[in-house]
Amino acid sequence: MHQHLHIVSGVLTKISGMSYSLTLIMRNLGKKVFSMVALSHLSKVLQSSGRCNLFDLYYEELLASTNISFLGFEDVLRHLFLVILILPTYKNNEIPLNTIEDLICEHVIFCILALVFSGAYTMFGFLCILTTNILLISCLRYQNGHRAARSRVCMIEFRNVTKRYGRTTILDDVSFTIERGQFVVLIGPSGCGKTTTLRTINRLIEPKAGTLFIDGEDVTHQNPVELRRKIGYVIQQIGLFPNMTVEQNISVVPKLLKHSKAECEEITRELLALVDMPYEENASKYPSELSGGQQQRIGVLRALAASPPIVLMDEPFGALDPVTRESLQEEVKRIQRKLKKTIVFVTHDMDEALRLADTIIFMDKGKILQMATPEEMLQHPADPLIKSFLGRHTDDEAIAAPKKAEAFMKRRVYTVHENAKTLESIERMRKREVNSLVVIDDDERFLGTVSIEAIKERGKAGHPIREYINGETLTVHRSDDAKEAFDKLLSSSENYVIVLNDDRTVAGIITRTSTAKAMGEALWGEMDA
Amino acid sequence: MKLITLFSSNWHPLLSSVGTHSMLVIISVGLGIIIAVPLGILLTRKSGAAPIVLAAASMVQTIPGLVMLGFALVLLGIGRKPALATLTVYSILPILQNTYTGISEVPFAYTDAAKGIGMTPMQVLFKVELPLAVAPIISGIRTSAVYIVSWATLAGMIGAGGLGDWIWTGLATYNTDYILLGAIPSALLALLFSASIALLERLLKPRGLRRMS
Repeated sequence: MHQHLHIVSGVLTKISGMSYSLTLIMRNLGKKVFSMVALSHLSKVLQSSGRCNLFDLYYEELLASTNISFLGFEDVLRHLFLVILILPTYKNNEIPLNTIEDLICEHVIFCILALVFSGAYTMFGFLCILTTNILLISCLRYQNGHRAARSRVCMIEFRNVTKRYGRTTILDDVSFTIERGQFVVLIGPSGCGKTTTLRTINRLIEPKAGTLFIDGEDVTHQNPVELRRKIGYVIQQIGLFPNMTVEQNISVVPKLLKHSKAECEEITRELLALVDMPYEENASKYPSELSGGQQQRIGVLRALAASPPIVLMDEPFGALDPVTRESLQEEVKRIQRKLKKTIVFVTHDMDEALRLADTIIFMDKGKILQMATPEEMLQHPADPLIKSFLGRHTDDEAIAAPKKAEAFMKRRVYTVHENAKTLESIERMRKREVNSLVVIDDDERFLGTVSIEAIKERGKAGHPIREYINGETLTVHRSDDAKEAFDKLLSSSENYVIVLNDDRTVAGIITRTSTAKAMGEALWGEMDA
Repeated sequence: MKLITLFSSNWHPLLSSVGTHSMLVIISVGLGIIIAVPLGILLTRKSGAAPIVLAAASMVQTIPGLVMLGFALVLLGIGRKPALATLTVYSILPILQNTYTGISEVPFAYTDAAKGIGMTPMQVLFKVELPLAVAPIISGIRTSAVYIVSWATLAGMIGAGGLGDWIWTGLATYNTDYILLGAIPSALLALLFSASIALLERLLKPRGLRRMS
């Protein structure tokens, strides 16, 4: 139906532009005019579609052949040859299907008009071209549908990628796909090719052989600068530009993409809010005035500024102290869940990989040893090397399927608003017979806890409770491993871990009692709640 | 005492000599910057050429000033032009060297990040590398200017004018007062150039870098 409409509309436009066919009748004179008009029209269409090389050639040839009023066997052969030539080009070069359909419909109309007006077209040649065109369209249709279906789920695809420096092979025929919205961690011993893999994605490293598809497009021949602007990039050494303020650093990429000043400021505000760094305090600071953790937060924000669908992170937290590292890991995971980014993350720290990854890719000597979810890798490490990397984690093989933190939490949590006064809070604690409360803000988001000791020690009557918040309270996400929550709890002096939802509202609480209960269950099976 | 009377009777021509001298320095260092900074940047892009070019530049620097001036005299004749040509050649090396090391010592993390987030090579140069290398480049210019102030006194020999005239007159007539009358302002001029370029460096150094050192 769609195609018929094309033809009809094409016919209408062509009737108005009858000059084409008239020139065909006035053969000798007309030949040149015809091809010029047709070619200029064609080049306009091609320009609007943005590209073409072989396709150009193909069509020029085709027009040249239509131009000759007699279409011989030779022309048909040439046509067929070019069709065969164009198909692989199409695969790599992304000619929009609509453009091709338009062009072919027009071509068919040319043929018909030429047939009607000149009467000199060989019926045989015409039919041959028609059938090959129809074949071409259906081929492209099929391929396009196939590709669209693939690119819906597949964000990054490596196809037989190889990289060599001299004689040493860094990447050895690597193929894998990364799905949209996944958190993928590349891990392996140093020199295994994980960083090279990462840097191949934004083409800081050009592979020796193989193809890289991003969002269904072959990017091996794309302009690398434009590609990189669509991919966030975070490195271990942070690499914030010391000559620029926090705001300038964050808005570097939006500025490269010619966003206005107001837009840049808005982006900076939004992103700083995402990591709880107030705009007014931080925007005009220089990187040297920030702590390492804050710097890397800004590094992550800079990567997110132009809202790229993909973010690459090369051991981003490797140089940070363990406490800061953990809080940044949580933040990045939270941001990834919230903004649904595809993140490719390089690390050599298995803890980090297990904590963050949806999928772990384990590499060694330029090859992929195993690509699996954390659970699967824990249960069935494919290689002794992976087993040794997993180390202490595999000792817990007894716990078959790791349970989530939410399975063990108590849902009843006593909260208090940050603006509540001290006496009010003490009263509430007394009533509920607890020694601390969870402090929340207007949106019910978790701010910290406040304990009776803190109020007793420093509290003044009538002061808002937020002044006595203990920000160090342990937290986990509700879908984190329960084991992680227990580890955190047992290795600290705290009595509880707060379980949070995606939006940082409070989901529940895991206490030492729930830990004991879970251990009991592991030893003696299900117990009464 | 004699020096002061000599100065008070000659301060007017002396002042004009100081003016000529400064012009010589400013023009030759200016030309030096125009040649050396782009060349230094170019050298950081072509890593193979750097040692060769820098070695060649250092070799030029080792040619005694008098020899160089002599050559210039033979090739370009008497006057300001040969002097300027010689001084420009001498001003190049410190600037070239500092531009090259300044830019190649910008930490890889910054250039990697800049490339990785999608800057073109030109943007990496102007937004990241040059701002970070501004301090070493300017200190190269400073070294060069201080050198050239003293080299320029030699240029008086081939008729370039400036404070060199006084020194050469003094030398020719065994009159130390004349020598001092040329030497003291030239020393002061060197200090003045050094101080004003140091000030320029402080103004041009990106704010974020100032606190670091």
